[in-house]
Amino acid sequence: MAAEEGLIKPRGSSKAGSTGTPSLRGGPSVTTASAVVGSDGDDVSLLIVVLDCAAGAWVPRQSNNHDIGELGTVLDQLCVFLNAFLALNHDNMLALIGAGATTSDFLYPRPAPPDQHLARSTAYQQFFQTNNTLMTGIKNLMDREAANMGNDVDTILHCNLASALSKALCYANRLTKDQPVRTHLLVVSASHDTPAHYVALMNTIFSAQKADIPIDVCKLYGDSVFLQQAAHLTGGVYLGLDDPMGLIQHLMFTFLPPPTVRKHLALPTATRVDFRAACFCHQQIVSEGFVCSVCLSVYCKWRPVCATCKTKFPFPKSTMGGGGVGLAADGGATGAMV
Amino acid sequence: MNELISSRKTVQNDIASHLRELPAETFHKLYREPATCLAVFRLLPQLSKQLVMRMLYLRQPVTTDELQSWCQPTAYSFLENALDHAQRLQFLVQQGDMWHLNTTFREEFQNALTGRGPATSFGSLAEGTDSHSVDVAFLDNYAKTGWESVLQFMVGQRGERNPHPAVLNILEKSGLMERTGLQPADLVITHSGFQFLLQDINSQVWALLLQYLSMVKDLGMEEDDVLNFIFFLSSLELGSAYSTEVLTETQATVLMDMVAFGIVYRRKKKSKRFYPTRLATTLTNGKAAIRQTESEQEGYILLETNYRLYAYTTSELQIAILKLFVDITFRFPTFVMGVITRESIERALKKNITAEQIIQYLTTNAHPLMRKTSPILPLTVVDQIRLWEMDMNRFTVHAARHVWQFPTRDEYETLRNYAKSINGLLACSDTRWWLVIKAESFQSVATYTRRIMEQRRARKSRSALGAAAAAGAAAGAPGSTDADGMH
Repeated sequence: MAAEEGLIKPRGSSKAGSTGTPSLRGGPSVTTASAVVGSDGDDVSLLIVVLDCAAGAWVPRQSNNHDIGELGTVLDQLCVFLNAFLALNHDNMLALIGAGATTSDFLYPRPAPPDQHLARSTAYQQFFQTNNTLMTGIKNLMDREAANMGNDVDTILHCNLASALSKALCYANRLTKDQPVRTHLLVVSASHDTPAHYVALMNTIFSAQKADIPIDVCKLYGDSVFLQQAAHLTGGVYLGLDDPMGLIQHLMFTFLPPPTVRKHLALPTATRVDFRAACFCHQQIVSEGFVCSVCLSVYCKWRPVCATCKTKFPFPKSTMGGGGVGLAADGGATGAMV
Repeated sequence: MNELISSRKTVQNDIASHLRELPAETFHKLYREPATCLAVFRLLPQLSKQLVMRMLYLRQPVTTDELQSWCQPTAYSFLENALDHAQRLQFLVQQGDMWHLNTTFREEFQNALTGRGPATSFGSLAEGTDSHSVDVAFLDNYAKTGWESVLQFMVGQRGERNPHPAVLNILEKSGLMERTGLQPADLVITHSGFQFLLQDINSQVWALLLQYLSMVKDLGMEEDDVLNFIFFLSSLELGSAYSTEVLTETQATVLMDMVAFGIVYRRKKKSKRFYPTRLATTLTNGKAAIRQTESEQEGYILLETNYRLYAYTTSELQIAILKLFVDITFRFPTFVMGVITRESIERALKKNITAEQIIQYLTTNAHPLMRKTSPILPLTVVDQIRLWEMDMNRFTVHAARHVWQFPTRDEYETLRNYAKSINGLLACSDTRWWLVIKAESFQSVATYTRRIMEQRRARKSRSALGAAAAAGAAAGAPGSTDADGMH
């Protein structure tokens, strides 16, 4: 735990590491109080969905024998889910951010092209426009990605979640500045963890924690260490799925309730959270490593100078055997990875 | 006392409670329209919405135990409340221990979410461009001036044109105004009319619409068709033109009346397109309507802790409303000054205006300077207004039955305990052996008495209980009589 909390230290204030958690505990109650001023009926909430748009992650899996691409299946169900969210309250706000391998982009809201105003009359206008904008947005994003990456686009299994999440948080901050709106974030991801983005991702997670915005995670095909931590630290729900066929039911059950209703509902809780961190030097997920006792940076190998805070460490007296012993700095304090 | 009872009647303006009174078959017809499904769904409390959403794609019914397992143990009371709401609006159907969604609703709501409903379920946009097209600002202005002219007419400020006869008819039928002569100008505002003025626009619109609904039968239309059409209007997009050609005959008739109310804009009577105004599109979204329609209009009331009130306004309507609960002392060209006194508040309370409405009105119309403070209104004044109201409402009136002359203490106590257990006991005297039982609980107490008596008769073949109040005794006479419980 100590290692994770410390990660914001190099950038944030020097006190963040130690006082971060207690001050956050006080946070939610204050925000809730101001948000629930109105009656039960006019509880407006903002949902920001971050969708993984890394093409490779969505390549149809062997196990499925239907023709349609996995992304199509997910998108169909996601659209129904988004409509359901908008149906909850007339004033509910929605934002969608696509996270590609290199870039991330707002898929909704976007100014609609003028020709799109011809609406299909069977659909509720708001639903129709959201879904339409979403679909064109994803297509544009993926086309652009494909143009950037060339032919090997299908091999990309990583997406730039950190960038998408920070966009989401900035957007939430802007919208909720002058109106009491509860925000929750949903990450729908299929790609693997990107250890290179570890620091950036953790920083966004801590910002979300500070802003009292729960990050829900719907992870398809295999678990993600970082996203587990994201959900755990922000009080969101982590759900790992292997097959997107029944996705809609999971979305409706777990991710639809806004934060104000969640306290009444029984939602899945993570039994085990993988707390491993990625080292700062080689961006690999490590179970045991070295922690700078000043700034709590994590390294997989011993080094004489901390790359983050430039603290000089004395050479260890014994040879470095197993990991788990922290670097001694000046005073000789030691720390261990969880 | 009868006067007191009747004076409690308020203007019905809550669509949700109106819907709860409707029979199940009506809902079956209502839920055939995806637009209605969506609108009524939005009226539910939050937890009910979540329950309905969870069950929307579940194929099998759910048991009560399963429903409980969806919630935290601490939230069971919320769950019961949520289920009750959903059941009364016919979203959920209970069969024994199993709960399932109303099948018509499930189908149409799924259609609404996926956009697969019938071709015109959310309106048919008018084709081609309108040579006289209007924008949102125009529609807002149209709706606002139209509505304000109605309110101004009510407070006796007659402009050069009276509101549409259909509107006048409704104002009169709903008891908001009384007719003293044959001319439109002979309508005067009633007590409930004053109460009506203090409500927000959304409630006002619903009050008139509900009154309209109660009258449509006489016009040869089905209430559920009209209700469906109103919900349909509320689901339309502000600023878009819709075609009148796909409307049914009933809908076309209702549309004419909606134009009269200012809920819909239509350039000419025969125009083939119509535009919903903000009054229509905000019908089913709670409080948002007020915020949006009054955003351009800043608050004008300053209230001080010494009960003095300053209102920067030139509008006769606003001054007339203030006069309901403020003693106006000075009036200047741009502002009026007044004092809130016990008498002025009591005057308002006697007109059935509640303290909550007064406070609500003052809060929504508070001057920007007042908004900077928290709470917006001085607490002393707010508390005092509430206290004055409580002073007025020390009496609550219950229809009740008086039961007395018990032969034995045992029988008195059996009945007393039973009445208490079903929450039907209003008052009792242990020394004189009499009970006052709520009228609605009396039947079950009487049945219980009869059963007990038969049991005893069987045991001892000796009748015991004296007068357990035969029904229908003349009022005022002792015995089983209508009494007023005091609490």
